[in-house]
Amino acid sequence: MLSMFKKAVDVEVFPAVSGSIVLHGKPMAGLKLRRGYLYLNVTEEGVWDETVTDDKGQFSFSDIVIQSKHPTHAFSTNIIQQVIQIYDDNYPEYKEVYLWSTNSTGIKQNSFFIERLSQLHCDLSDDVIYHQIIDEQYKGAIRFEIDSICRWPSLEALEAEKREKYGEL
Amino acid sequence: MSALSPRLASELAQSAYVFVKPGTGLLNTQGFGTRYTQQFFSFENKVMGKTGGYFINKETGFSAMGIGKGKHEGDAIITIRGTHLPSLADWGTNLQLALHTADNNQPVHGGFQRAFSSLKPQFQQFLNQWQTNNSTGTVHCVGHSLGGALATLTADWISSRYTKNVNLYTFGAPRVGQLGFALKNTTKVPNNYRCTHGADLVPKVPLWPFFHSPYKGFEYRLDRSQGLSMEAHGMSPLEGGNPGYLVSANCEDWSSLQRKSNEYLQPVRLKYENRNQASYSDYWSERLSAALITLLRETGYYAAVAVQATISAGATFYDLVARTLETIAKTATKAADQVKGLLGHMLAFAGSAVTLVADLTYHTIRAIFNKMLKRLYAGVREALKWVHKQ
Repeated sequence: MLSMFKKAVDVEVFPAVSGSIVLHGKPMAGLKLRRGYLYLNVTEEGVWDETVTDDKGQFSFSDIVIQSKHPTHAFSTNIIQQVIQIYDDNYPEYKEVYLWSTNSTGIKQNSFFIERLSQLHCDLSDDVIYHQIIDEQYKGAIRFEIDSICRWPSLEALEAEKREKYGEL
Repeated sequence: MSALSPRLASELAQSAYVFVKPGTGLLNTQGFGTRYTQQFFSFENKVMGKTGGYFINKETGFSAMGIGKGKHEGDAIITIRGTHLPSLADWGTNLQLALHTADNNQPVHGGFQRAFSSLKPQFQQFLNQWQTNNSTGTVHCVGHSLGGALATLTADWISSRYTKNVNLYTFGAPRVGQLGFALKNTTKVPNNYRCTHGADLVPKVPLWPFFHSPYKGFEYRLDRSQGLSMEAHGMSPLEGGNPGYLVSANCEDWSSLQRKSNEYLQPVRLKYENRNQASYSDYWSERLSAALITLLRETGYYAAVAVQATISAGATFYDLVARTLETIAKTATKAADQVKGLLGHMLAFAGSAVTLVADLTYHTIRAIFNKMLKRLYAGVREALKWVHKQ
């Protein structure tokens, strides 16, 4: 009963996003994108916003912090699905192209997501692949899974080293 | 038949918290579980005769049921999350209340049994289908916290109704039933991987006369934490768990984990003058139970009290114990000293500023019990709230 009077707390559902889209190296201008999140057991369905790439193929979204009482409830889970995809009627062939697709756990955004979302660069000639990130703080126990068409070559080199160290799963 | 690795079991237990209703998720990949668990179990299998797979999402609990592949070909998995159990609205002394008869005819906690009963029809549907597909492998039951209690009841029932090849994996699960249940469950589900952290409060409750199964067996003690803390109950460090069962169970082999014998089985006698050594910890929670049992045994009251416990738990049960201790204290000086010693230690455990035991009347004894229970269950309530927040 007391939880009724509890204060809502900040939940970071999405960090700031910034990136660019090219096709075979050429900027894709005027391409419509949408970003969505689903806070499990809190939002019934996805909450979406949209943007369009500029002349250089660049785009951005600001970060999203919401207020929720949910984290103060007993047995509450704080899992947030995050998605960024191409959503443009003029390009139906890119409908399944995900720039970002993952689960975020907890009410704070982790540094791995913040870093990658700030450099969300992709070439539409690439495929959506599965990226695994190991949080070294937990010796390989905690691994983030992201599906994305984007590539982060220098960050991926670090991940490859970590997988060498903690094992492939 | 091969057991799930500690890592696989813990990831499956955690996955039950990450469930999205089929068709509502946003992600590119919609499968239940992580890439790692998906190598061994699939949950959206059309072969199982049900599109969308077997998922239960109820007020009383959640469960995902799937079938094995690769190394676990022919096996079935049931992973359970306990959610809001109405009778546990108050995890205070009420937790000891309301016994129900489990499927093996032994007294268990009523809230757990009711929640299990509400999930059972769908388990049945799934397991019937699994057997129809001529699957003769092992059924693995997995759960964290209250989900672990439900997994224990599920595994027990499966062993009677479906197959003896049933493995149980629990993380930070409370005690489910009294001695009769623990004994039967130990025989029926011999492959019981019960995982705890030293400072996790939830496995310490309900108190005696509830017992863990395997009875007189061992548990996997995944860390060396001391004292009692809320964070020790969590699965994931990303949600405030410390160390988090996902982290402490991060290995492929059970033999690399530390095993600890289950309950304090040797006699414990507590001296009143040493009472301030007691502290709010796993060690003392077990020693206080053991000291009470020792006292009742040595004075010949154990059987009577234990039998009474199977029909009346909770407040009435502690009334009975308090009255029995009053009687014991009146009969002999030596026994009275032991009663006083036990009560003094209980006060110190409860964090009471004053640990003097004024007299050995029913009222004083009952009040001290209340203090101890209050402290323990306040911690448990906090731990359960802590499970999923930072």
